[in-house]
Amino acid sequence: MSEVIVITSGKGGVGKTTATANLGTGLARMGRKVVLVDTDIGLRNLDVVMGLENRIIYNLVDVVEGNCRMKQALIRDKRYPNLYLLPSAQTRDKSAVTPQQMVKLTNSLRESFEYVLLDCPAGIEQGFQNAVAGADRAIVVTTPEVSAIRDADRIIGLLEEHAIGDIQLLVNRVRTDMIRKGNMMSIEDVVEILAIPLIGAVVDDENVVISTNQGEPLAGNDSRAGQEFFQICRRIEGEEVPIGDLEREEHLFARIASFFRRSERGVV
Amino acid sequence: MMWRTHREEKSRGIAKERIQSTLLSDRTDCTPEMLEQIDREIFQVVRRYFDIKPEELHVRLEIVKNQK
Repeated sequence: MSEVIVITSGKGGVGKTTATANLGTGLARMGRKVVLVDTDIGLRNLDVVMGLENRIIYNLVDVVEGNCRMKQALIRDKRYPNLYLLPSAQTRDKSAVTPQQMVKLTNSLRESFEYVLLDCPAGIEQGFQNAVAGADRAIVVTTPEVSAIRDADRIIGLLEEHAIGDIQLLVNRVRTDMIRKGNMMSIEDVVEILAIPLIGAVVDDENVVISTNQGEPLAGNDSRAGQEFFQICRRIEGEEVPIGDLEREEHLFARIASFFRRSERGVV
Repeated sequence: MMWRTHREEKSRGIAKERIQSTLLSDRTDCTPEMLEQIDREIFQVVRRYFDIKPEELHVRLEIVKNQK
């Protein structure tokens, strides 16, 4: 059984590519055979987030146009045995591929992979239409901000029109300190407004920036965001992982961190 | 610092209220004015049957699309 999941948001800059990289890495860490597909033709960036930018020879458009075989375009991530990337083309535009060609492409990837994760471009034009064409399931990424939520709502409506039945929400860049002060909508607020099931929430963690700088996704490592992305991977797998109270967990994290700081200084 | 706390407590609520009314307009393809008009007209109908004040009527609009 393989599953094609599109990671989408409508608005740009909310963390689609970061989420795709981390969910793919997390699922691969769990032993799943995963391929990440960058469907943003003309604005390639999943390769740099993954740290695989120097290994691209062929791309998605080359596969679609028959310039190479699928196997030649797939880049194997040497850090994980079962993780692959199909990069996008940088010098072409969205009209280079049709939704029908994308369906064909995702169907051929289904034969070799358990998970096909599609990193969708921002917007609702052809790039979005291409990305959703072959998907079974969608993860809508938003942040707790009015602009991102509005676009997410529009995207959810379009996904429903495409008859994608399984649509889940990922709330990214949550600032628990601001929620506590009443200056940011809570995860519950966002879920109530968008009215779709929550697959998880990820805090605004500076480690995400650091990991992107290094080209090493953090899913599964010790950082908070790394742990939260990994929990989402377990939920994708169907495991019942309770969605914890981010605020309470933060306090615990802070306590653990301060405990170690103190012990380093020998004050315990 | 009381005033500051007070102002801060509001921004989440303001955001929630604004996005909810924006999404209602988006989803129904109605302007906020049209939605207010619906509210007023429903009130006019309801008060023929009940003795109520405008603030006592809460109108919630939900559109269920036909399943194909």
